[in-house]
Amino acid sequence: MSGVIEASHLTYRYGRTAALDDLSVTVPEGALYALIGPNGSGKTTLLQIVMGLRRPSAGRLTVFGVHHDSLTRQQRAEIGYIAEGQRLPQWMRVQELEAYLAPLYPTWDRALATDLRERFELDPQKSIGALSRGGQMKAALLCALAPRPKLLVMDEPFTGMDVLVKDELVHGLLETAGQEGWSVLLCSHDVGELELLADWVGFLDHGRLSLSESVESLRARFKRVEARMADEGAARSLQPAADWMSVERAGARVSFITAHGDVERDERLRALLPQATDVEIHDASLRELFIALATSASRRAVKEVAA
Amino acid sequence: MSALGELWHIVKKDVRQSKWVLGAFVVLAIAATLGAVSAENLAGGRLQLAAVLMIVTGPVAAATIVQTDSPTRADAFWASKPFRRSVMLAAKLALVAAVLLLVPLLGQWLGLIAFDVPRDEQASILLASAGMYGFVLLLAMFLAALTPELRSFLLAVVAFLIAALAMGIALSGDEGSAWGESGMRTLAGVIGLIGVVSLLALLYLRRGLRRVRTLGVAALILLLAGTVSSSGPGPSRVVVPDSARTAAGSPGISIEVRDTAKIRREGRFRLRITLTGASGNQRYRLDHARARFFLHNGTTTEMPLWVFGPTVLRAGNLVLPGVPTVHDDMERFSGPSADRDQVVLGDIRRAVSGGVDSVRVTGDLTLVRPRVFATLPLRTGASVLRDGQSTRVVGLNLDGTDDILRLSTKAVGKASSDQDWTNDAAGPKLYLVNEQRHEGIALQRTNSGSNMGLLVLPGASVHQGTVNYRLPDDDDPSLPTLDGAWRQGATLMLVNWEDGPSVPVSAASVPLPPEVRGARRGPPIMTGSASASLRAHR
Repeated sequence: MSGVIEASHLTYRYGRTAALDDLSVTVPEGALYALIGPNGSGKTTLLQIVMGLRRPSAGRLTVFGVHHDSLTRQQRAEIGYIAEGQRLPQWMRVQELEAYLAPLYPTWDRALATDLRERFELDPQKSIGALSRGGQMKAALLCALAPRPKLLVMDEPFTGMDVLVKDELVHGLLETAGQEGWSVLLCSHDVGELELLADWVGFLDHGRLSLSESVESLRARFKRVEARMADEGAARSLQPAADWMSVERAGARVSFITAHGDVERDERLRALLPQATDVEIHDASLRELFIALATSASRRAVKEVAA
Repeated sequence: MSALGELWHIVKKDVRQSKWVLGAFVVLAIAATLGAVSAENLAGGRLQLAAVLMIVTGPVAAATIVQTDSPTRADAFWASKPFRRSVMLAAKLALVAAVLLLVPLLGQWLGLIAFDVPRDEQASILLASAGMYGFVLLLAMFLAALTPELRSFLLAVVAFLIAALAMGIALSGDEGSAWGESGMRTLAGVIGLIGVVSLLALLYLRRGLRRVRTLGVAALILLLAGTVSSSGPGPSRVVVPDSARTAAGSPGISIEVRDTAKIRREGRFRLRITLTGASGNQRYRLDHARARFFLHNGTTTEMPLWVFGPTVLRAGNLVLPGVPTVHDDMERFSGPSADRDQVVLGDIRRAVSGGVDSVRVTGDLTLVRPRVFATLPLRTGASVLRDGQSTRVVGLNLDGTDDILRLSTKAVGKASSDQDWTNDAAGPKLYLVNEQRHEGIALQRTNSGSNMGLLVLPGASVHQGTVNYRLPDDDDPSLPTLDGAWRQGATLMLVNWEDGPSVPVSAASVPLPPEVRGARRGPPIMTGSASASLRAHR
């Protein structure tokens, strides 16, 4: 699989703490890769290394097939980046920010910039500092999208945006990324939005990648099983299997996530649920998967399954 | 976009972004320049305050310029954009150099021009100023690059100053050690400076460098060790040309020891030093004078002759151009001989009391030459501005019995203390001269007040103040009468006495009178003569 970003045995340490620990990941070309994981799992650090803002302690990273240290200016101009904590020049007006950045990008699309500004309802005369948090993210997004980048790196891009804009943005991104063939590496706590956007997902935890696969594959593999037991006692006495994640009990109902995609034909499951009166099987949502994976016991289980 | 275009693009942005602090800096620089070009102490020194404020504002402005596009912050906006990193560094340096360094340097230059400082001295002062302030700005840029925002920059500056002070104290008593050797210090300073410059460049050129703060602190410590502990140069001394040492028949000294009985009783004796072999219009100063006693018991002991420190010896009357006779200040210009009581204390007194065979006086005889740099009409308001010195007559009372003249002065230069009017030992001398009558009177300064200041930047110092003068004592029968006719043709002559070459001299008194020699008897007072000479300079 050729990747627009390829990290190999990447390690980054803050003192003695490893933010990234021997991480290897490939972001396929043209994919919208969502990086999810709990706080402090190393998502932002990885994105900053991709952007050359941090230098890894060990390992190798290539972007567009080139070592990230050797990217030409032209290649750097093909990467768009927005991050939640990025320090925008607060004193600049929106239109000044555009004018400041436009000459740096040979592919800067003024029409797209204007279109985005109007869609985001950004006042060109307003200074960045006078914008709300969401407004500032919109301005940053405008600057990242207007050059029509081949690779878009986004760290919590939806922070502070209202639902309508977020929805519009998500659809806009899907549409544009698909049309232009952009590759997107995105991390966000808003797993619900990621579900709409992503076609690849990586789960990062304590600097290690627990899984990295296409959403299609995840959907095929991870299922939510909801079983109605004969009575509450039966539900309470049910012993979960080692690979069940996010096991929940509510009265006579038991639900869990399993990594056995062919759960319908899983004899073991049938054996474990002899008293089930009704069993429903759904594709696990990304949100459900995130919660499941973020639980340490579940993580152990999924590793075993993934292995 | 070309590299130059990109540089200009960034500089324009930085100017707009930092317009308030840069504007404040430029306003302060203009105010400081106004103060620098003024011969007067304008606005009660407020313009001097402007120079101080400007100097302090500069590093803050440099830090602001750097931190607007921080090379170390991972969240810096520019870092994720396709700027040429070298151009970003160049833009920061260019803006700091163009505004924070060149603007005050221009003011400094105008100040030097206004004070008619000689051109070669102007260049040297400007170079020194650029070096000093450039170094300060570079350090500020470096500290700003290592710190995330202005508050932590200011804290870092305070920490740096405290560290500099602590290191200065710690290394001050280290003069004799290997570290105290200037070579080691210089090496540390050079390595530190190279480290600072290299790291600043690396921070921009290779983002995400690790351990930069540790390396930065190490570079700063080396820099501090190399600069803070460096002691200033020793007392200046004119290099003696070999030819000056060998000329025969040139000036030297002879000594005469008197009242030697007082050594044992009162711990003092009288010593007369006489200039020998000098031409009539030369002046000489005896520096570093010491007396060596050859004791009865075959040993020797030595003591400095402090009282001869600033004494100037002259062979004859002071000669100024067109003025063969000048009634001089006898305290400072003591004629061909200087006669002083020498105090002998402690161990030396005890040793000397045991019996002395002879005394040898050694020192450096330095030629002191007059240079008339200005002649002023004798009236209030008359002023002159030359050689870095402005002088204005602000009070004149030739009929009075007390002070007759009050001058407002301002001296500007590399080491303006050498030209400071209020510095009695080194400052210019003032003479009332009537050329038609070929007479002159050296005025005596009575009191003065002064303060030190800045021009615009460090590197050129300023001494300004007021000096009052009076005539020599009335009971001097040779003093001309300052009647209306004399005053009619009189001018004020401003003279700098400048050091020429110097040579070591020594003279011995052999043998000493019997009261010093103890039990042995000998002839009465004897004198010795010079053993080294100085070529006569005309």
